[in-house]
Amino acid sequence: MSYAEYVVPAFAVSVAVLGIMIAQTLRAYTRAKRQLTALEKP
Amino acid sequence: MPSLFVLANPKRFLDLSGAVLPWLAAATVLALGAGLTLGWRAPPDYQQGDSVKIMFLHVPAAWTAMMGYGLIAVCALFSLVWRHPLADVAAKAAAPMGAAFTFLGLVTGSLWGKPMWGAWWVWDARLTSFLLLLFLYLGLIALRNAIEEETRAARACAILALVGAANLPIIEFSVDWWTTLHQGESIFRAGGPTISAVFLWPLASMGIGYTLLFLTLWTIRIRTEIIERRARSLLLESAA
Repeated sequence: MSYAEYVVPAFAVSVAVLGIMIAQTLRAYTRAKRQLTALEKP
Repeated sequence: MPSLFVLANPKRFLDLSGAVLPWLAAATVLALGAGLTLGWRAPPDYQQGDSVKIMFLHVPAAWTAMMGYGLIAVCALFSLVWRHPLADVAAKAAAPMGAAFTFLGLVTGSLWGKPMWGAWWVWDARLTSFLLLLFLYLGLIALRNAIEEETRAARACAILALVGAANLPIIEFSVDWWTTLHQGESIFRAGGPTISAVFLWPLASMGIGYTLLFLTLWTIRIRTEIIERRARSLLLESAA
């Protein structure tokens, strides 16, 4: 009973928040690198 | 502290962190993989049943949230006192992640509290001081966004971070200072941990995994901020 009601939501919210954080971090990094490369082009 | 000041050079930091990042990421995956595997195989607790598995998410999230604020406070000190060029960048990069881990600590704690205490939330000293930590993180992010000039923003955020650091010992010792519903210290205590090894190992692995994940993402976010500042200065140069 507690597994579906509490344990699964706890894992789901953790995966969601950490996943968003990882994706947002990597996306910002890639975008910044691309922007700098474009600006540094002679 | 010569080693820290060696890192003050953004170019040197980019070189060093670039070499360390793959190892940090690999260690994160290994630790989280081990923690999840051991946690999945852990038996139900004789009192808590399967709900004990929430501990493997809640405790590491709460620990990482507090560690994150501690790191911000140290960066704030370096930024204010020694004008360490990377300290403000590091503090800025850590705040959103710290807020996310604090949010996770609160939500998973609530999901653990309901089956154990019969309540999603109580105004207990530990819970309340931890909620204050979330507000401190949000305050740091809001303050940073409210001040356009980087030097002024850095100074204001550093002062707020240092004042807010007083909340860290309150969170840590709240369970000793006041009568709380939240349980007391059961891992780092005199006489050793009070929890069984079948729960301690997955908890330790997840704790290490969350810490390494924070450090990996923090490093990437610092690198991002350095690159963005470089891009901004190039844009300003070209506009001048």
